[in-house]
Amino acid sequence: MDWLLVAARWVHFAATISLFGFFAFDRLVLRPTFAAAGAAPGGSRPPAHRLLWFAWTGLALTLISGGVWLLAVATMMSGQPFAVAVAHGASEMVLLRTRFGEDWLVRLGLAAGVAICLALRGARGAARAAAAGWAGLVLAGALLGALAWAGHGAATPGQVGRFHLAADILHLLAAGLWLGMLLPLASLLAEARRRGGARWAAIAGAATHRFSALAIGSVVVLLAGGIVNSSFLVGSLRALLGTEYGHLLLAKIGVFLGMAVIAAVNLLRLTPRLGRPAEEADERIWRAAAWLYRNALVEVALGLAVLAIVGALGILPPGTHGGPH
Amino acid sequence: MVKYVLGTMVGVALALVGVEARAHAFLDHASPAVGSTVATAPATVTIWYTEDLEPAFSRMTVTNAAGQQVDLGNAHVPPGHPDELQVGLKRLPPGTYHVSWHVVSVDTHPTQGTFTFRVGG
Repeated sequence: MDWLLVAARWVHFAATISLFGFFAFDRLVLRPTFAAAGAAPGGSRPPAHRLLWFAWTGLALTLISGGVWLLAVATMMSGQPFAVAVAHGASEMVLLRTRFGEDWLVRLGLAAGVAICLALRGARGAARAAAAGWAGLVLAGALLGALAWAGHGAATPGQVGRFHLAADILHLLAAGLWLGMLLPLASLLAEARRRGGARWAAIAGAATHRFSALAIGSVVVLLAGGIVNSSFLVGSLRALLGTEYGHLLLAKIGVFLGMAVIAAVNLLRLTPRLGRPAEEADERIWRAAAWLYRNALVEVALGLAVLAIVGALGILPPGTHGGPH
Repeated sequence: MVKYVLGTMVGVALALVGVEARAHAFLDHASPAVGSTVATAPATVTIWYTEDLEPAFSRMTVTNAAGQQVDLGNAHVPPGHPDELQVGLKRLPPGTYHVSWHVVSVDTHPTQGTFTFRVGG
């Protein structure tokens, strides 16, 4: 059951982040980039259809993994075998009488709202579609941020617990913004390379610059939130080095540093090459775009590793509680 | 892309072998204190935990040396004190008492434990 819980948490975090990333990329990167590029001769409209399946898949996985997570938690809380816990209505008790259950129900409502926004995103009329996009961004952000109530972030007692909770919410949103927009960015870069030409080179460059600006801000918030979380949950170097929680946190930090190195290469070496004037579009620009595409996928893979560690961290006692072995 | 994702999933699954679920709400302190001897019989047993509790899944029983239940069966999380679990006691004669608790923290993890205390000399 532990493994089911870790797997459910992993998939749920990844799917929720992908949903948030879809709306964030659409509203904060894709639309402004194409709006700046002007009307589109030759069909340089945003490749929305390619990303929409990604969002629907993210939503479906969010719901499925959320259901599995609920059953696994009900089994764990009741202390009974899975079949007995389900048959005896442990899930209903968790839903109706625990904080996890309240959070789950609120997030189910948010997921329904996200589904409506996804469906309305293709609505006729630019204003209506834009409203659905912004509403989707807010709801998907709430869906992601509300995960804080399902974990350690909401368990710190007292007033200081609110500070921990706020840091955890910001940590989640920053991680979601960075990680969640990587696959849409890779998709756009792939589309630009397939289409080719100066116009798509300029679009790829502008989109990557917008993404980079958001990613830098996200990493700053991510680090700040991570430091606050670690101070609450680990508390000391001894706990960091001497507990299973601390070891996993170190592994998470190590993978994060790997992602940060790749991001730095993208930012300092590759992205500037995309910033040349469109008329200078040449093979060097497309090589840079190809590297950015590959690096984005490697970052996604590393991001999934980080989320798997997050899935496991959530079921371990924090280092501040466990004490060194 | 698929190979990156699959490679990551396999790698991480292997790396995380050995992770086990453990409880999060640990006993911080109790009244009467764990292992203590009190001169007068307490009216309640209260346990403070390191995290807030889920009342619906948290319980405590107190038994005497003969294994008979001596609490009032009203274990509860007092309003406004989400990290406490309290149970009322019958009038306790001198002797050794055994407290057994099982709680679930708000971050969903169960834990349990026992301790004893003595009343009188």
